[in-house]
Amino acid sequence: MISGDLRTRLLGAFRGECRERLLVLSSDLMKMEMGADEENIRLLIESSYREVHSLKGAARAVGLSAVEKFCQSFESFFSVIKKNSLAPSKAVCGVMVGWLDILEELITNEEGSDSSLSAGPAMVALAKMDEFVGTPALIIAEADGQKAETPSVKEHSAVDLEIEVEPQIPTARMSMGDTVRVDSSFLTGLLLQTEELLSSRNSQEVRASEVNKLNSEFSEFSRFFKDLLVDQKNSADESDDLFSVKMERKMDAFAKRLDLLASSTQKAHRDLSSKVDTLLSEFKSSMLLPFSSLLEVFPRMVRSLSSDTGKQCYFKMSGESVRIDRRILELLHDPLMHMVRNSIGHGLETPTERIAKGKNPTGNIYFEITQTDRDIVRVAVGDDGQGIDLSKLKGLALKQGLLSSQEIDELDHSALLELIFLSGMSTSDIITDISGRGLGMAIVRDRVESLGGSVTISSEMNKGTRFILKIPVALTSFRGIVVESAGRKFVVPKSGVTKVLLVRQNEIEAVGGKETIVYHGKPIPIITLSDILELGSVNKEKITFPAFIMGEGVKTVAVSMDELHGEQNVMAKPMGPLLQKVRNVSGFTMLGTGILVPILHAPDMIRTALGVSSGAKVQSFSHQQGIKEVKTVLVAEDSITSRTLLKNVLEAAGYNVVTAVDGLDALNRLKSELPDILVSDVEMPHMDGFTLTAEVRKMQRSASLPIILVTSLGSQEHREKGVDAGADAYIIKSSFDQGNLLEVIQRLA
Amino acid sequence: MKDNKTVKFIDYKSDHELLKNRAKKLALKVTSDLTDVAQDESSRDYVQFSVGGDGFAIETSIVKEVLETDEIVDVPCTPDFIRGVVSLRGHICSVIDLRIFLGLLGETSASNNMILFLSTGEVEFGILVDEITDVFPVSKDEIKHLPTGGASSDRYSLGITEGRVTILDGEKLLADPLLIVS
Repeated sequence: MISGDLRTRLLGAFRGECRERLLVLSSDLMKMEMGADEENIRLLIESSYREVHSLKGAARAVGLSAVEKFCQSFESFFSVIKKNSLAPSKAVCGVMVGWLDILEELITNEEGSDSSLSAGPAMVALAKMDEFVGTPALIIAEADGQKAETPSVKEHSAVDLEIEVEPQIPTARMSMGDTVRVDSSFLTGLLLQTEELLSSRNSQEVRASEVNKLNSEFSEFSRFFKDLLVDQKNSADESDDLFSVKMERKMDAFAKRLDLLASSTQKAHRDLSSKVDTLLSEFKSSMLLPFSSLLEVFPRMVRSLSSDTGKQCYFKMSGESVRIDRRILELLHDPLMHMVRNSIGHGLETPTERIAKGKNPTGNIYFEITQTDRDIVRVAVGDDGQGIDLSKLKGLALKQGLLSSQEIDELDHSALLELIFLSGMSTSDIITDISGRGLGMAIVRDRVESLGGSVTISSEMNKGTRFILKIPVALTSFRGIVVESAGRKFVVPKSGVTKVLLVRQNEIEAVGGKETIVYHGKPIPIITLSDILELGSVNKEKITFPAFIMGEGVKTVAVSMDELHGEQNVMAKPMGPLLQKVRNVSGFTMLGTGILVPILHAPDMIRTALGVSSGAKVQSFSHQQGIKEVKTVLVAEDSITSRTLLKNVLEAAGYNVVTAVDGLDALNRLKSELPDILVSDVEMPHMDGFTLTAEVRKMQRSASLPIILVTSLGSQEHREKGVDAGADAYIIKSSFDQGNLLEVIQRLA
Repeated sequence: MKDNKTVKFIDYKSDHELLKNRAKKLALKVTSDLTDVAQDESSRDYVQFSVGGDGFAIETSIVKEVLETDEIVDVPCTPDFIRGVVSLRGHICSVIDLRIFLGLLGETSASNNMILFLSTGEVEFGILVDEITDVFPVSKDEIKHLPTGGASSDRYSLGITEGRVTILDGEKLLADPLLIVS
């Protein structure tokens, strides 16, 4: 006998099969009952016969002998009909539908031993089948003959039907409707596969721009070659001439094909990217579920927990219709549950205590869910209980040796509250000491941060405690900034970066062995990314370098790096079984170029940075005085917004930026001081970009100045006009992103 | 009617039995299947490779594939023995420097990034090897046990062959919690 694991799996498969076969059977029988012509009846009988036969085989395979026997009789009944080409009468069809119900019942009944056949309805049905098989004539006879017996069967089937209304079978019938039940893991798998398309899209983008580059390089080359030919023509003899004509023709043909390839690649890329984006966003929205699906168990839990602990509690939710990725919802279940438990167990006071404090004896626990941003959901969880006792927290931190008494004195209210997130604070004895706040809060924070979210706490003695969680709506794709440090690339989630700055070497001041810069009027520590990641210092001699401002309040730090490579959509990949938790690293991602890079964990970075900077390690040599020349970029742009944007972007990338409000202004500035590169808008008052370019080219000292035109005029004609005027690059604003511009500048400057 | 024939065919007692056994075997989970097979036979196939000048061999049954890659991505803030990660058809896979993990003396040749991927289904990682030298069958009694000196490389050693090749206990290595970074 088959047993155990195999049998369970077989049974699962069997049920699925039965559901389908029964569906076919019942629809066949219904059609038969409705009446049909002879040919159709024959086909229906044939189909039913086959279904019953297969069902019999399947039942035998899983050892449900009752089902098998029943199907056996059913099958012989059908074979009699088949053999004699009978058309069963309406009454008989009704009887058959009844049998089907009995069959469903037998299948649902797990043990399936022969004994279940001795139950009333089944026995009658079997006897009936035998009777029909014995005297086939009865099958076609209209009701009269069996009047006495048909009702009895029908009655049973009616009873069966009523029983069946509740359990599994109805779902089988409903599954033919508009909605489909699919295993959620299957859906998740599909989504992951769809997300894999993103990297195809990214590499397609890289390839498209590569082809474009190649195309423009080739056209440049062929122009150069043609000029050369013209020069040569005068002196060359006949055969050389022929050769050059041939060559020219070949090159033209090649250029044409290359151009075609470039535009079709570009088109293919746009095509793919719009399709992938649509597919992904629609898929993602299908994965979104309202919070209510998670929270519906909470009111009951709160009720039972509060009655267990002898407390009175009113539970309030708002915004439960806000939708979020179901995977995030699943992962949030435990943290939210934990916080509510804490609120009931340790936050709320007993009714007597509450009355003594002059509060309503019934405490409040609330969930407020709001969508603050397109991508971010804010969940506030709190109570109006006794709050967190800071003095006890302090005592505990001291006892655990987490902080020295001097350090504790320096901490302000919110910094003290943050202590409850430390895992050292979550030992079991705290439950009694400080009312358990802290048990597992480290885990809560870990979980929320691993989702790319954040959690903050506020609490006031006797007023209550409130946690605010900020959670991304979708899980795997987010905006990341590609950075480089010590020759390696990393991705920093944009959500973890408050601001991007360009820091000059002379802005850094050593204060008490720490390097600091002034940000918003306050000194904050600045640390190199390579120190945070322990990459060993590879000193690039630079005067300026980009830095991120990360963290909030007292935990604000600046993290400096060697290079900034722009922003892009990042799809996180899990780190695999071996790397379960790595400090500072939360996953990996494939860049568009196909390079695998680590994704950094912003909260960890801040913690490490603060740890490193307050440690004994002296950082004064990290930012060494450099000798690398800073390139100056002249930006001519009439729109203040665009101008500021460009200035910020360029400064962040380490350039010295001079701005001009129009072409004329730019020309004047250029005359007084020559920049290393000119970035200009095309449409400007007084003097447009084309004229500016032409003017600049006319002047001898700036004849070879690299010029980049940034414009919304995307037509071929304008592009050519730009080239004619002598611009080195022509960037269309619609395709304008920082990376693109920075790359071009880097190449030209 | 074809159906009927098949049914009859299966009805022959011996065939029925045979097919049932086959079905059972197919339905078994892969891992248990592997150990079953392995236990039946006294001799198993081993992949021989060299790391830092020393010869090692590991059972073929847990070797998933061999890959030569140009780039192993460093992972900051991990122990030394984690050489980095590679993307194995889109999945991130850690690569371990056995030389450091086992505390061997030799140097891994820097030029060759040959990776042997090991897997038991749950845990999976690659080990950096200098070269794959051979695949050969070893029977149990060919493996000579050595007195263990307590060196970390001995922990995973099943013994040594006559050719001075250390036979590694791949399953023990794969199951070692020391390798997990958390």
